[in-house]
Amino acid sequence: MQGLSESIYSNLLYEDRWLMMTDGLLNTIKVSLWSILLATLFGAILCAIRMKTRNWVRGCVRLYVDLMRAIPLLVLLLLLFYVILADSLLSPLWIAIVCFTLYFSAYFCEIFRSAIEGVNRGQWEAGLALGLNPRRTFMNVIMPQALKKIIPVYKGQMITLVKSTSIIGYVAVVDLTKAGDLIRSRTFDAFFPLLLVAAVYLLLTLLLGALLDLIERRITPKSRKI
Amino acid sequence: MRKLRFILIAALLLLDSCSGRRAKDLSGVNGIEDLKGHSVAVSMGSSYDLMLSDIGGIDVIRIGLGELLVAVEKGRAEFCIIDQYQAAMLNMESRGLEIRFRNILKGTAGAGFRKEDSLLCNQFNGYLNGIRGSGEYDRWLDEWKSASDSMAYASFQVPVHDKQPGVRALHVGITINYPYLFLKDNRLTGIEVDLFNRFCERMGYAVDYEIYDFSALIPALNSGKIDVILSHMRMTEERARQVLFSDAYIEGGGAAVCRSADGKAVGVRAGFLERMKESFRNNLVEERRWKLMVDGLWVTIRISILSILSAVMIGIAMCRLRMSRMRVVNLPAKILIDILRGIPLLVVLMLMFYVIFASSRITGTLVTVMSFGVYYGAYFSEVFRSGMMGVDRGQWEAGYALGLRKIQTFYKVVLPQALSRIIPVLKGEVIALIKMTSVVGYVAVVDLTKASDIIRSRTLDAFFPLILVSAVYLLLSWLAGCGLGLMEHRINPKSRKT
Repeated sequence: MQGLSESIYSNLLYEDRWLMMTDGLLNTIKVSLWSILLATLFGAILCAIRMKTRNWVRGCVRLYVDLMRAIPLLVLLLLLFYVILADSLLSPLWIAIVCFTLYFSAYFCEIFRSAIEGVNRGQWEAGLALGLNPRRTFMNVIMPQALKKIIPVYKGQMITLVKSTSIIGYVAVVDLTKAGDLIRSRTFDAFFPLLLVAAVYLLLTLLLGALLDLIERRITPKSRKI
Repeated sequence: MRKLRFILIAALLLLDSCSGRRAKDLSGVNGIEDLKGHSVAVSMGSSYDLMLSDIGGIDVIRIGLGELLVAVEKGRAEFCIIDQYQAAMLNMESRGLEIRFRNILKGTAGAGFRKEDSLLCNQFNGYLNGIRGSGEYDRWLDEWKSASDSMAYASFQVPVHDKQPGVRALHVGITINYPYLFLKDNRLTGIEVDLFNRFCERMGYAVDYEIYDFSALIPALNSGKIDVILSHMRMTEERARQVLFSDAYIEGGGAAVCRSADGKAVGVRAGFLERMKESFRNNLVEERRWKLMVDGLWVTIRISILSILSAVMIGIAMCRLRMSRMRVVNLPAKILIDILRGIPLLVVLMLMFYVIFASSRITGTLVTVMSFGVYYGAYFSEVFRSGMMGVDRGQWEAGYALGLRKIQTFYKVVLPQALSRIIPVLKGEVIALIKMTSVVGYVAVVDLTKASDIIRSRTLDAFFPLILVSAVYLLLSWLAGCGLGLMEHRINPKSRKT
């Protein structure tokens, strides 16, 4: 017990080190939220392009998706930071956000596409037969059914995204993991900062999961009836 | 498609070739105090890092050792601090850089031992005193100092004892730091390595060098992963509280490097192909660096395959527990799976390495395979479970109605249907696993990514090793995808008919 209180003191309270942790947590949340938002948007656009167009544009999107799904995130991050966006004025934090957006939009695109394609063709025809125009058919008939399939997979991917942000320390953004590392490099304590960081990530992902469950319940037609 | 490729390459070239960010005037900076208000890149956890953090008012950028110069070159930081001996060896002008001032934190470095291990420390000190007295120390240092970059360092290598029963093997934690510890012709050498090899040869120890991140060395020492830190570590007061330092054996100091005033690299900028050729030679051919890459690739492949196998097995077990009807069994399984899916893999890996298996002497590779097995086992078990649940209950009943036993129903009726759902999802997870192995460098395993890091820290080239590595990962995941696709094809009853 004394060891624990000593650990808490040296790792968190001494020299106000807990401030590092909260700053790191803030950065993690910032990168996660922006990336989720932008990646969802970009993924939806990619999905629309992939499903609408038929020529080389579509091949292009496919190539992009396959490429993003096959290279490690860390390599993409370092490439963006040191090579492709090396001369841009973007801050490291925003480069991280760009990186996560590019990477996860490919995943989101595939999730959206497989869900929309998973809705029976007859549903389109039913909508059109009822006199709805294609846009209305998509929004009112196809979308609610597709969303039901999207949400569970989307949730998993989002949690993966939040956890993957632990690599942004490589480009000099102080996130939660890096803050833990920084504290570790001062206190040389292997155990406590790691456990703390793990607990915070767990909390974050649990919260995100709960939030998405709430959304899921509101979106799916079955649970809405009750 | 060809048009597209041209556009892509053109865009890359354009992005690569446009440079020139307005730089602040740095001419007034001639000492540590002047660094206030500027951004300075340092290696994470190094003594420079600790010093600059204590001064305050400096924008300290903490990155890996291999990226320091690149960060300055690309304008990510105004200054970086690297070892002055290393700085003198590098051709700064050709990169458009200059050394602004030297002798930062001039001091001495020593080897670090565990506090309880004073016996070994005393032996090392005794050895140092011995060679100082006999003049061997001075000769050794002179040889190294006069050795030029191109000289065959390997000639200094002394034979090291093989690992045998009865011979104590010292686990030595190092970081690659030219010229103190580095790889040449895929062999570890350097001033400090040479000294330590001589010591071990005299004392009859076997040596096992393990490559760590600098900031991970002291935790690794204190958790019993390594016996000795040999990493050009400066003996600061803060560290001395955790580590028993030997006598000093070498001097060191830092040099602050920034972009030179005109900010342009000297010499005509060569064409794209020329530069690629140069990079290829520098990063792969010279000093047979490709060997390190190939070794790293093997490690990545081995870890991937073993991890996939163990994850499948653990996944099956977890899935079985999770689907059990008894609450006592399925609740803990559910909690465990949720926890594993909720924390980053890196944290799982570090916890396994430094906390759970801290005192046992198992290799990083084994810890990696176990961590990946448990972590991805949780993912796989959910994939299996959803695949199993997707099969209609009526299929079970149909099996029973036909007079099959439970186990037969499972293997003959349910499993084939579940597998055709499981494999496509599993494919994505397996590729994710292969890509995720790029983090194992954290636990002293030299895989593909770490190998490229090591090469990068020597050649200070940001572009080429990264592209190469991503191409190799691309190939690996494509191969894995093909393999699983083949399996999917064979398992799927529909395609079997044809």
